[in-house]
Amino acid sequence: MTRLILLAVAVLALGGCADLGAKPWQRGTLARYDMQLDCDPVLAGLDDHIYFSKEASSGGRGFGGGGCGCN
Amino acid sequence: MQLKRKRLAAATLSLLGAAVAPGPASALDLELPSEQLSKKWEFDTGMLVYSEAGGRVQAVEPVLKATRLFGQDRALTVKAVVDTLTGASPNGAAPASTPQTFTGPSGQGTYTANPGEAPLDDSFKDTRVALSADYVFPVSANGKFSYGLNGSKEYDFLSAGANARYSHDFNQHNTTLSLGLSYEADQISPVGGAPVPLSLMPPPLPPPPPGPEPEPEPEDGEGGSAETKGVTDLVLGLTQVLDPNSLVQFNYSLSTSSGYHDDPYKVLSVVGADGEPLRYVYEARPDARTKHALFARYKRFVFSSDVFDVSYRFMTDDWGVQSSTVDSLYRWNYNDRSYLEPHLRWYTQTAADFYRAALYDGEEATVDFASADPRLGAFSGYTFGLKYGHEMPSGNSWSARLEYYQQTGEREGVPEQAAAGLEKFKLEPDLSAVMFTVGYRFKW
Amino acid sequence: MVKAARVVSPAIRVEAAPGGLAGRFQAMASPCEVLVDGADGAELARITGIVAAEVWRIEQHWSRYRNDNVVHRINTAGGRPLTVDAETAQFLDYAAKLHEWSGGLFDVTSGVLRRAWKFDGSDRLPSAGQVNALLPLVGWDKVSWSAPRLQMPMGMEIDFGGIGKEYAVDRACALAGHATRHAVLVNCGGDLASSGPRAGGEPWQVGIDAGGIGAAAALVRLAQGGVATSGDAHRFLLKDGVRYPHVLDPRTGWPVTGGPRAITVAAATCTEAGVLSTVALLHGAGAEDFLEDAGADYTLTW
Repeated sequence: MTRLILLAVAVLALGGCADLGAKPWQRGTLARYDMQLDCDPVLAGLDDHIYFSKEASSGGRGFGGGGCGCN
Repeated sequence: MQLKRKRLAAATLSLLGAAVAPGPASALDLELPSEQLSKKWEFDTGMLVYSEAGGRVQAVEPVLKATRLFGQDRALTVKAVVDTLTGASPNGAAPASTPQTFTGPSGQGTYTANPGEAPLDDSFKDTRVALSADYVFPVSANGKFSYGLNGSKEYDFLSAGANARYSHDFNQHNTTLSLGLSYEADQISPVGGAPVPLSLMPPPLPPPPPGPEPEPEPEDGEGGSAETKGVTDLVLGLTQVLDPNSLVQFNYSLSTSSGYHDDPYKVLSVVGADGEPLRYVYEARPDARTKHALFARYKRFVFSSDVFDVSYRFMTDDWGVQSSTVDSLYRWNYNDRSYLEPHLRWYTQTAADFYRAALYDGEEATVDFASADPRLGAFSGYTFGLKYGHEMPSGNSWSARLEYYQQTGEREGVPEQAAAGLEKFKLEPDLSAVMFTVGYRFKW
Repeated sequence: MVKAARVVSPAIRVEAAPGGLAGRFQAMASPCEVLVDGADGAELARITGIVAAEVWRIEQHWSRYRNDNVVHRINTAGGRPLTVDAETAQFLDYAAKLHEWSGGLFDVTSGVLRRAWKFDGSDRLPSAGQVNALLPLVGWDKVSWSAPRLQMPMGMEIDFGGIGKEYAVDRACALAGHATRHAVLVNCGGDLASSGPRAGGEPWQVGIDAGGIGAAAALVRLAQGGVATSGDAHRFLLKDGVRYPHVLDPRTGWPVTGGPRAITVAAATCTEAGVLSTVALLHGAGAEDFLEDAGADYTLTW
């Protein structure tokens, strides 16, 4: 429970920082394929499916794994 | 030369139209003549080969994903996955001092576990096909909306679902907030019908006498009853660019499901004080589950060429399971076109409240829920892997990845009255698997 | 006469102008002015703020004088590949199309030629050797571009100045047009864009300095769309009676002589007008034929 609260506080604190970021002309590095959050989605999907079938957890990156009969 | 002039006008409008928010009755929706559109299709293909040690589950899973790009940030993505599973999987019964024999769910074929071994049901071979389609489009200069449908089919399972997501950028695209919702309806048609929870598993059938072939049991779920389950998911996300080289992402997910959650093929051993099995009963899980997950991820561009990525996920649910996942990778771009990416993942979970390694004689009449499914037990897991990727001059790329996954179980859910008797058996679920993936991405 | 001026920010002023009020600021080495049809001073100040913010944003994004933007990374990449942001990718896609469309005359890699050419009104021309030494570094076909990945041989540069001003004017004008119900006109040093026609139906009237020293300012009457001017009024070399304009043919590395001194084109957007006027100037004596073939709406000053 403490961990939940700590993470939630970190998120809220970050929301208050409006001058964090990069100016539009500084976005070159962020445009790189390997800096994207969904870089290699096919592999991420395969991993999510493996761990969803072998563990009791799901979700995090996006929607919880579904569409398979593995509870 | 009017055609040449039109080409210039069209290209210019595309340049300006793509950059500016579409307004009412805008002339900026011009579709370019087809010879001027660059490659419209992106294909992302992959294949996973998964192999567990000890003759357990083997799976081969090819994936094909195709994205069709339209102008102005609109795209349609379709994905198909085929999953072929073979091999043996624990059926939930605990090891015993004498061999244990079980009948497969279809009523045909039996399997036997040696003394001291956890029984593995090797009668399941399954092929699953999953399809999904998603469409994403901008709704304003800073907003994006996507919706999608998905479905999957195995011989005893059918599911259909829909999802929608909206994301909005602030602070010159440095901050993004998103909200996603999805619903999925599952239909489970176990072979032989869904068993009554905590009821007795019938003893193995004797081998059929020689003579005419008996009527085959229905192999799919047609002969039995169908159970259903509904799952609703909500995801709230915040992505924030910290500086030109790094960004952070936070997600909160809520998942509620109601309906049939049991695994119809899993049982528990009911043991006496000596730890030996007296009988077996089918498992029973609650018909509702609520999961919360908090996820944080950090990505940073380092040493002017590499990427460091680390994430943490905390999950808790009302079945008593709590888990932590730390996942990290380092992409080492050692030259212009190739990279090596070591990967490390650490996972730990507590057992579900109703997880039992076995039940003590009589408990099957008094407990509400019980399951010996190793996935609901307490364990830690490590994954170590290395991925290699290469980009070709054409812009297409391929990758190969080899990983090792090891789960180490903790002894949990042992009934006190039989604790002494069960001492001699290894009850903790353990698993180790090798995973090999290849991928190929190309434009057309 | 006392001009009633209102200072909006240190860099933006609202001043009296022929026909009403104009919002003014300096950008891209040019005086910029914003007209908003039928709006009062407060609305004009607000819209001018929007226009200036966008023009300055683009100026900083693609300025070659900064060391923290994509242009710096491109021009110091040393032959290595890099990825560019979405807006730069759109622009480079456009540059690629223009290179093919213009038969190689429009080339964003020609900026390195400025190392040999200094258009200061003098008679100092570079030598053939100086120009030939730079030619291997010029040529869009030497660039490997596949959005968002850019790679080009070491020493080559990408210059966004060619139609960067026209692009900024179009974008800023479109943003301003979405921010108000009035029609807006943006004019940066003779490159104009309007977000729509004026409410009463009269055309926008703008004076632009398209002639040379001493020439009268031309008056442009624009219903809607954009106007761009290419010319050598302020930057040229003059030797032995031959005028060398500052627009260089990327295939030879030399200015095209024998053409008009200035070309003004009107089109649906300022960017399109700018491409037509620039490419026409590169046709030299054949400028008029090119503009006729393209069905352009133009005026020439010889």
